[in-house]
Amino acid sequence: MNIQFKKGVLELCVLYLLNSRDYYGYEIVQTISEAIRITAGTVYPLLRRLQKEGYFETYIKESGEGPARKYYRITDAGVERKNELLTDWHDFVKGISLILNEELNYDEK
Amino acid sequence: MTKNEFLKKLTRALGGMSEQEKEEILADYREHFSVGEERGNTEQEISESLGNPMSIGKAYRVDFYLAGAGKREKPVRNIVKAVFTAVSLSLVNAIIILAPFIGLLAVVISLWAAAAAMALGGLAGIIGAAAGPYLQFFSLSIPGGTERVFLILGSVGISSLGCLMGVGMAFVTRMFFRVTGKYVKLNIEIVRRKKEGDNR
Repeated sequence: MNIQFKKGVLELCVLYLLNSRDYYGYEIVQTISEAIRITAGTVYPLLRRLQKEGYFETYIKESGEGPARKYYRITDAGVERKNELLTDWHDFVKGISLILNEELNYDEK
Repeated sequence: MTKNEFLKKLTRALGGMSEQEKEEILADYREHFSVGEERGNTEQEISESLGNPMSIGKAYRVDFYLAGAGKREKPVRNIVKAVFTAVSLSLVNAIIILAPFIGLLAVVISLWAAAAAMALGGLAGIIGAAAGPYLQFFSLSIPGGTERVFLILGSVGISSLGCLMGVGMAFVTRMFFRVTGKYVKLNIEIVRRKKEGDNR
């Protein structure tokens, strides 16, 4: 899959995941890079930028088995942004389906 | 590469931002390594999965200066930083950004110089025409009567034009920096997307 395409939806994926629950860095990076096949190092700069834009806040939680971990929690602004992007995504998919269907109909003629 | 090699390269790639900023960024990767090792991965495997530290560093730098260049408070300094970041990202950027930027900057500077010259020249004309006949060291023969009045008025006109031009230039300069900022941001975005495409 094209890299630009992946980068575009990366923000949506991060916000969508964080909307369901809090994640720590490694967790979210692994989840995303396994699903979309993008290098893990691409995700951290995005997380930092989104945090600076106020879409989530962070907190440190001590972990039983290991070192303390930085957790990400979505903010109200983040939820709003996620809804925006989700709408964009649905519109996009709908639009593409129309085009693809047209193509198919054309082939059938 | 080992964890320390990775972190060292990343630190270097982060370049000129503040120590605090760099520390926060590195903390994320230190944590990533320690969690990864907890789960049984080697430093080698983890650093490989993270990707190229140079590209990662550039991504942070781009975000950092992108966030800064938009603000109004220090337009000149932020524009210069943004231009240098864009130029350092690719040679093509160096050509399509630096060359026109320098060219336009030269035009802006010379227009300022012209405005200043007109304002000061006009002022000199006023002083010269008004005071000339009374001062010995003016070798110019200042005409008397109505011609002198016209000379003074003409100088006032030129001087005013110079000042108006100065005001206009202030506006033009601000727009210039703002438009340059947007153009540079656009180019940084384009290069950033391409670079991370290569990194993939």
